[in-house]
Amino acid sequence: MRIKNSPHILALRYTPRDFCHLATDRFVLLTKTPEEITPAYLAWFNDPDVRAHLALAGGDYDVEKLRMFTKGHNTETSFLFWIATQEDRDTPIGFSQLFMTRLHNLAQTSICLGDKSWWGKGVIGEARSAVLDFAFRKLAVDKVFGHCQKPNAAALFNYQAEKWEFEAILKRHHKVGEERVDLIQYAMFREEWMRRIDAWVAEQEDDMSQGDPA
Amino acid sequence: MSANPAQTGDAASRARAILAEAVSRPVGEIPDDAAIGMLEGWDSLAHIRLIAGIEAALDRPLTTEEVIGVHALDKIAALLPG
Repeated sequence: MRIKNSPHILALRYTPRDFCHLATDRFVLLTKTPEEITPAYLAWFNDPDVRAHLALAGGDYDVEKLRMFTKGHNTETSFLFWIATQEDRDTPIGFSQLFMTRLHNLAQTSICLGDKSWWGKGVIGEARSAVLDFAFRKLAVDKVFGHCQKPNAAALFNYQAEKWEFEAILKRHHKVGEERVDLIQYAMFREEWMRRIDAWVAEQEDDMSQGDPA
Repeated sequence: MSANPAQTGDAASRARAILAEAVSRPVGEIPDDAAIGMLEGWDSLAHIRLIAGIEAALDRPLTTEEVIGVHALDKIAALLPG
């Protein structure tokens, strides 16, 4: 199925507690079972440049550890999406997590682009927009928030480019190596997300009406 | 030897030079209203270079509040001494 009027999700297959597949223009975001995790998933996972700002404890990962990591997700409120290209769905280039808190009807998300050959090519914006659209329109949360560490200029850029709302600075909140660094919190609210969707729909309708023969 | 434009001129000119270098474009192609999402080449990798360029010009790391504000040419100029 397709989420109606979505500029971000071209196709959606979702069975709660089983699997969730989102397709964007260039990518697919797929939940996986632990058994589906292969060494291909480790290609960049332990790259120091990738792990530098990733708040994942436990040192280097092997397949077994990655399977354990995967196992903790894919419930009705916790998702681990592996991001891959449409052409090669078995070779992940990154991942995104989404955790929903029912009590407050909000979700936290994070995203990591591991394959360096895709850095600077708009992957984060495209993939995260699909996750946000899923969160707001399928899970029906009111708010999604995310964090980035102050030294992570690339992540900061992405939040700004996607026009998230700056919310807070958590002072010296994370440890990067031996240094304590500030954590910056950004938020996206349902009203703003739906305003963007409505604007996109209106633009599509306008384009279609302009294309109508007189 | 010619002077480094990122180190000379007024704050606006230096900001433009730093941004131009970060996005790998000639200074003359950086409009007054250059901002994230509006300027071709200003991507995440360019942003890393931009932050490094501003910090080099200031000879100190940006504060968290300052780094959050780096999203448009005029905001970069405001960080540089006049």
